Amino acid sequence: MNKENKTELKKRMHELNASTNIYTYILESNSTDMKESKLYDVKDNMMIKDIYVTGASSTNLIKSPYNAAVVDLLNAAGYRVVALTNMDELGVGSWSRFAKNGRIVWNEGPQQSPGGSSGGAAVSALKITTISLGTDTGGSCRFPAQICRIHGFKPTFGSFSRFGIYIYDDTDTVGIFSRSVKEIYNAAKILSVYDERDSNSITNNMNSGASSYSIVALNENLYNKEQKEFLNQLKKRFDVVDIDLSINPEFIDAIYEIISAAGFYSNSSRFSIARLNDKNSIEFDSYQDVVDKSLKMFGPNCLSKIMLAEYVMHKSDGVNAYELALSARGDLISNFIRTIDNAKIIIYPVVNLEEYHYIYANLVGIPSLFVSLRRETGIIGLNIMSAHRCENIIFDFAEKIADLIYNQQIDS
Amino acid sequence: MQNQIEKKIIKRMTDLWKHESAAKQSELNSAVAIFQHRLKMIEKFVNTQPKQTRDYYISPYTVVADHDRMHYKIVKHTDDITNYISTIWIKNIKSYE
Repeated sequence: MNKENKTELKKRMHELNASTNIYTYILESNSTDMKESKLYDVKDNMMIKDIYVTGASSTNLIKSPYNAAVVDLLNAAGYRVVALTNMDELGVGSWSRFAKNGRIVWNEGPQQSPGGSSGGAAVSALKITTISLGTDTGGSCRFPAQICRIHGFKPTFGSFSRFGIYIYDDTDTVGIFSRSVKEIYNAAKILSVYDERDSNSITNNMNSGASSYSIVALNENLYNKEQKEFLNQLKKRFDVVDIDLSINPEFIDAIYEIISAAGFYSNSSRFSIARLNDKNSIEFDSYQDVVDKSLKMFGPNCLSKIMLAEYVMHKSDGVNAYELALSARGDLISNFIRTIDNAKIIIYPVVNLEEYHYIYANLVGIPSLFVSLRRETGIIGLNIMSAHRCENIIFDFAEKIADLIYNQQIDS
Repeated sequence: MQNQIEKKIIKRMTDLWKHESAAKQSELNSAVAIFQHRLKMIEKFVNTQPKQTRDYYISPYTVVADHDRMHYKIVKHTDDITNYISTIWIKNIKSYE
């Protein structure tokens, strides 16, 4: 990619976009050093100065007044941003189907989709850029990576600044896609910086890798034959300890849906047609009219999420679903932290299109890396998790299993 | 109860989109299906959780002012709010305040 000149690059991007709809905007960079730079793009919910960043939604009509913090950090490190990538509207979705300008078409994936919500970023990282930035609320960076057979990473909550990004909910983090785990690691080091403009930002510095660690398999009691075989392979090389981390996956989706709906409900309140009325010149009959017209600006998936929030925040028969979900989340966090303190690494071998296992890291706030594995291993990839701010342990482990990782050698 | 809320919310969504194009209507249908799927999932979760799990920090007692009869009552939350467990008589509310 680095040897490619600017014109050829733009041509390739436009050709790819014509058949896939993965970009919402291709930037016309004036940079002359593009040949020497590492290229990246960002999900269409991260601000780039003077560009209309839409979140793939009709609700946002504002030209970005500044760069997102992560964009500034990568630019300062010599990376060059080339595009904004398509996504599910405001990050709500798993298949990149709900976007203002139409869905992403990806014939190489199931359901003709690269997964979502950061589907465009995944395809671009596979085909064009060195890395792509997405956001990950419930697996939105790791699930598309799984479909596109690349690698996807979500850091500890708060370790990458969310300043200048349309946040979906309170579990949202910036994530990174790449064909190379090493490139993800390099970018993660650049982005792990404390930012006082983001109230959730935590002090920087990923902890140094542990000299030794043991591994716990998540939900081992539910493994099929392939997963068991893979675990046996790992046992020959690593200390896989027998700690029972069997958490009934049945309700993980429900807990996530409740918490994310409530988070989205509060965050979506910023998109009001009344506030944007200067451009629309719309008249309102009543307050209800303002609410209705604002709601109509959302696509159907976002609308259904808002409506869902009205249900979960509401108390019915003395029961509030949100309170119950928070309580269950508290139990989940204690369970994970207790296990991680003992073992350092939690893994889940991925065999099919299931997504639920990605949600644990979001609900607990811990880092997680999905690595695509070679087909000979019998499974698609590995979801690797560790304790808060222990990203280094994850990358250290990934390096030790480099021989199993698909595309490990590709370096842009 | 859930059924009523579900119906109400789906009606609200459908009403909002009723003047939209056929393509939008079809998108809405899939959104409604997703909504129903999510709601069922949540309902199943809620039904398996012990009820009022967080009552430990919510006081079951409330002080209610009965201005007509010039006294306060301490009542316990039950199905029947008139189940007073104690009554504090204050002869002159104004002097108390």
